[in-house]
Amino acid sequence: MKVSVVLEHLWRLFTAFQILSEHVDIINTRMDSEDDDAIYDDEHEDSYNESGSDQGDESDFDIDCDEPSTPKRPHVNDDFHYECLTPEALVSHMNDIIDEVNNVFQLPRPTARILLSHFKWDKEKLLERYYSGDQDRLFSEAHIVSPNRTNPRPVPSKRVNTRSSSASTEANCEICLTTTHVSTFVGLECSHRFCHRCWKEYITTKVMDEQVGEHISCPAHKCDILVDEVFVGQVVKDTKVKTRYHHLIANSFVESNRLMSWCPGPDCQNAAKANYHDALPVTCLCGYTFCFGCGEPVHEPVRCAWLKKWIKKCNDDSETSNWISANTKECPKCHVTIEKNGGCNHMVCRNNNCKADFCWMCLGPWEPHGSSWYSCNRYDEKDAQAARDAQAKSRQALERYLFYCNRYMNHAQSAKFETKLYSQVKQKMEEMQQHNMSWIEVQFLRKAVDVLCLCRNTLKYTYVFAFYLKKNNQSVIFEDNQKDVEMATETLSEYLERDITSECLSDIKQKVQDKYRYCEARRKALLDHVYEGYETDIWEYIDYD
Amino acid sequence: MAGAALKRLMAEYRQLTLNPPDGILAGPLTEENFFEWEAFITGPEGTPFEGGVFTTRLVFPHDYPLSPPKMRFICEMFHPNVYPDGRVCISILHAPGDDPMGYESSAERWSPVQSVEKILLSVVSMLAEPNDESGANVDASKMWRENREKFNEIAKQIVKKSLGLFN
Amino acid sequence: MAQNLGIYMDLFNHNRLPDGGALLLLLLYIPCGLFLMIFRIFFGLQLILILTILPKKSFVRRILFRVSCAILGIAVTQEGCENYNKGLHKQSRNILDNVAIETVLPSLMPYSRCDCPWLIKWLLGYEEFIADKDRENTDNKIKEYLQGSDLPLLAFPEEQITNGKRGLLKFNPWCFQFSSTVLPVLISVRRPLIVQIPPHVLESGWWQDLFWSMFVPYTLYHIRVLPPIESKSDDVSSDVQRHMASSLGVTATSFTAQDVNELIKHINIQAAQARVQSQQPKPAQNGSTPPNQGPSNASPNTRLMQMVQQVKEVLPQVPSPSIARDLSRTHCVDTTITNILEGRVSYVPEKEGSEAKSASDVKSDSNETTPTKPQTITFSRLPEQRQQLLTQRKAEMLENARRRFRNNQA
Repeated sequence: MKVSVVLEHLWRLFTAFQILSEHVDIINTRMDSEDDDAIYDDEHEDSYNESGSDQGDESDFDIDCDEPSTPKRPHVNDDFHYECLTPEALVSHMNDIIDEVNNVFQLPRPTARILLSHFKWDKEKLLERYYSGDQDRLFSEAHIVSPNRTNPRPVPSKRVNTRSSSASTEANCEICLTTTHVSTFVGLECSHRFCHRCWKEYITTKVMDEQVGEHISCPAHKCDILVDEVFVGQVVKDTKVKTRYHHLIANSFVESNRLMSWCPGPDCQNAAKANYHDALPVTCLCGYTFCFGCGEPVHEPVRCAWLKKWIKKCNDDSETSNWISANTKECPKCHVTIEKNGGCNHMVCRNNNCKADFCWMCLGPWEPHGSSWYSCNRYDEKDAQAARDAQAKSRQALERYLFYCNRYMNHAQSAKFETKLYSQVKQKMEEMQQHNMSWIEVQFLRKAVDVLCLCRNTLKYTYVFAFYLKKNNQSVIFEDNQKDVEMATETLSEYLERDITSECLSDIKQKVQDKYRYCEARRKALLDHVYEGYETDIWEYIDYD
Repeated sequence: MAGAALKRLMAEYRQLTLNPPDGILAGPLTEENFFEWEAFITGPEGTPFEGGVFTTRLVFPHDYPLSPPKMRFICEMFHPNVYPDGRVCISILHAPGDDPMGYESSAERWSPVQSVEKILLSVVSMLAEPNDESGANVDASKMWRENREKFNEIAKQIVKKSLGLFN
Repeated sequence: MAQNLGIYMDLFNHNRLPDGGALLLLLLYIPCGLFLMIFRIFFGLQLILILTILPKKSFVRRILFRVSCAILGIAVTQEGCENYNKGLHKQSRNILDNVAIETVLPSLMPYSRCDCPWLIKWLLGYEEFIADKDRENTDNKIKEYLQGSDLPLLAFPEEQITNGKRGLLKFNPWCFQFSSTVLPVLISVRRPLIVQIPPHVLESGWWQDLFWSMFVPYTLYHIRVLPPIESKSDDVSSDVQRHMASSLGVTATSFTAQDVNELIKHINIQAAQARVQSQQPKPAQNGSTPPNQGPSNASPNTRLMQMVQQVKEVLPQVPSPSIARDLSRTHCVDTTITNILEGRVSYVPEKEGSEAKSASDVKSDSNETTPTKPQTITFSRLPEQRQQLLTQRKAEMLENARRRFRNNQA
C-alpha cells in the first residue's frame, strides 16, 4: 500500500519535470525572452523570502541601512530583504537593539530605550550625538534625567503637613491634596514625588484613555521627564494596563522606525522588518501581502503618495461638493446653495429670512430684468467668463474623477468575484483529474487564476496612476499598454468563467495557457514602462489640490 | 475615579475658603454637585477691567485633576482670549497634547499639579495682559491692537454691567 | 454616653482569652482542642448534613440531632419545656444557641439583624426572612407563613449577643407584632473550667464563635422556657424584657442594638487614639476597657474609622453608620464616595449637631454685623454653612467693588 503511494508521488514528480521542460521548450520556441523571466518570477520571490527569513545578521543589516534607498523596481529587487516578527520576536528584536547600544553606553535599559526612540531607532545617529556633543543636552532633549548628574536626593513634597505630630513621615500629595505616609510616595529621577495612587491613576488614564505610551511625562508642572517601563511596572499592577502600555511602546518602536511596519492584515499582530524602506510587496506570516512603503495592499504601478491622495479623495466627500459646485448656484444675498427646479429664470430664494429675487442666468437682482435697462442678455465678457470657467472646470474635474473612479471600482469589484472563481476552478481541477489528467497537469488552471487576479489588481491601480497623469506622448503609450492588458485580462477571465465548462480539455488548456502567458507579458511590459518613466522622469502629474 | 476628583475638589475648596487670594472667590455652584463651580474674579487694578467683578463657571471632568476643567465667563466679556460665547482660551486650560491656538511651547499647560487657584490667577493676568497672538475673539483682538481707546471704553461698560450699575 | 459606659461595657465579654493561670491551662489544652476540632469537623458535620434531609419535628431527626450535638460538644439541659407553644423569644449567648434550641424546640427562624450564618440556617432548615429593604413585605410573608405552619416563630429581639451577667438590651418591638402569646426562652452557656472561654465577645464574627465552640471540650446550654406571657398592653416588648430580666436576675437596660454599634465604634476610636498618641499609658478612666481584640484585629477597624472620617469630610451629611456599612463592603474611600453620590447607598441625611448649630449661628451673626471682613474664616463641615459663607462673601465682594467704583467715579 505504502509503496504504491510513494511510487505515485515519484511518478507525479517525474511528470512534473517533464511538463516543466516542455514548458521551457515552448517558451523558447514561441515567446520572446521576456516571458522567460516571468515564469521564474515566482521562484525568485521564493528565494528572497528564504534569504529574508534567515537574515538576522546585524552587521549586514547596518551596511544596508546606510545605502541610499534608490527606488528599486519590483522585478529586480534581489537585495530587498525582509523578515516578519511576531510580537514576542519584536520585543526581543527591540531588546537586541537596546543591548547593542548598551554595550557601548552602559546605561539602564529604559534610558537607552528612550534615547533610541528619540533618535527614531537610528543607532548611528545616537552614537554620533552621544560622543560628539553635550551629553546633558542630549538627555534633556530626550526628556530623561542625565545619569551623569549626581544622584538627586529623593525629596518628598515641599509642603509637609505641619499639623501632624509625625511631620517627618507624612507628606502632602500635590495631586490629590491628601496627606499620606511618605513611604507611599514615588517618583521619577526628577525627584517630583506623588502618592502611589495618584501615579497609578495618572498612568492608567494616559495609557487607557489617551492611548499615550512613550510620551507620558512626570505630572509635575513644567516637568517633561518621561516615565519608563520599569516605573510603570512598579506603579501599575493591573495587567490590562501593563499589556496596553507595552503594546504602545512596541507600536511606537515600529511606527517611528522607518525599517519596520505593522502588518495591516486582519487580526495580525506581526510586524515586518526590512533592510531598506521602499514600496515593495511584503508577505506576512499570516499570509497577508502588503506594500512595505505604505501598508496598503500591493498597488503596482502607482506610487504610495499618489495612492494615499486617491484614497483620501475617495473617502472624503469632496466629490459631493464638486457635484454641488457643478450643478448648483448660490443665492447672491444669503449664499444658501440652490438647485433650479423649473424653467423660469426668475429665482426667489426659499430661505425665509432672505426671499431675494434674482436672475438665475446672471445672478443679478431681478428688478432691472423687467424694465428698460435690462442687460442680462448683454454678454459681460470678463465677469461671466470667470464664473462660467470656474463652473466648467469643476464639472470637468468631477467627470474626470468619476471616469477613473468607475474603472477603479469596477476592477476592485471583479477582483472580489475572482475569489469565487478559485473555488470553481478547484472543483474543475478535481473533475479533470478524474479524466485521466495528472495532478500536475491541471495546475495550469490555478496559475491562470493567479495571473488573472494579479492583472486585475494592477489594472485597478493603473487607473489611479492615470487619474493623476498629465497627457503627453508617454501617457499615450501607457494608455495603449493599459488597453492591451485590459483586453487580455478580460479574455482570460472569459475563458475561465465560461468556456472552461464546454470545450474539450486539451484544447482549453492550450488556450488558457497561451492567454495567461500573454497577460503576464503585457502586464510586465506595462509595469516596466511605468517604472522606467519614474526613473527618467517622463511622467507629468496633475495635482488637484 | 469620581471619588478622587471629589476629594481633591473638596481640598481645593477648603484651601480657597481659608486662604482666598486677593480678588478671587470660588466654590461649587451647589453643594449637591461638586463638579460645577462658580468663580468671581475682580478685574485687576490699572487695567481696562479694573474694579469689575466677573462671574465665571468652571466645569470639572470626572477624572479631574488628570484633565483640566472648562471655564466660561457667564457675564458679558469682551476680550481677545475669550470666545464670544464666554469660553476662556488660555494655555493652562489645555493639556500639553492639544494645541488649538498654536501656543508657544513654553506657555503654562495643564498638569495634575495645577489648581483652580492657579487657573483663576492666570485668568486675572490674562485680563491684565491679553495675548493677541492666540485670538479667540477676533474683533476684540483687532480692536485691542488697533483702537485701544475704544477697547477700553467697551471694557469700562462691561465693568459697569458686571457690577449691576447702569447709567 | 460616657457615664453609662461602665455598665455598658459590662454587658459584653471583651476578651476571649483568660489571664494568668487559666491561660496556661488553655495552652496545655491546645493540642487536645485542635484534635477535637478536626474530629468534629469531619464527623459531626457529616451527621448534621444527613439531618437536613429529614423532615422537621420527626422523631428520628430529634434523636440524630442530639447525637450530632453531642459530637459537636453541645450539651443541652432544659427546663419548663411543657410551655412550648407558638411565638418564641430568646436571648442569645452564642451563634450556636440556635442549634441548642433546635434540639429542644423545633421552630421557624424569623428575621434577625444579628447575622446568623447561612450555614447554620440551612442546617436547621430555618426559613429566611431577612429583608431589611422591604419590611412591609417581609411582615406579610412571615404572617402568611405562620398561618400555614404549626412551628413557632423564633425571634431574637435583643439583636446583639450579650454575656447575660449584667443586663438585657432593649428589645426590638418589631417581632412582637406577629403573635400575642410570647414564650420567653432563656439560654445560659457554661463551659468547663479548664478552658474558660466566653462563647461570644464583642465584635467577633460568627466563624470565630464557631471555632471556639469546636475547640472547647463541650458547651453546656441551659435552656429555660418561661411560662408564656400573654400581654395586651402596647408595650409588649418592654414587658417581656422586664419579665425575662427578673427571671435571669439581671437588669433590663435601655440600650439598643444601635447603641452597641456606637459603642464598638467608640472603643475603636479610643484604641486608634491610643495608638496614635503612641505608647502613652492608657487613661485609667476606663478600667473595663481592655486592650481591645489585640492590635491585629484593631488595625482594620481603626483604618475603617479613618476612612469613614475621610468620606465624612467630603460628604458630611451622610451618617457614619451608613458610610461604615458601605466601606466595610468596598474597602475603598473613592468607591464609597462614588456609591453614595450615585445613590447606591441609602441613608437619612444627618441633622446638624446641636452644638455645631449654635456655634454656626453665633458665627454667622457676627458676620452679618461686621460685613467688611470676617475675622476668622472657618471651613465648615456643613454644606449649608459653606454655601452660606460663599454667598455672603460674594455679596461682600460685589458691594465692596461697587463702593470702590463709585468712589473712583466721584
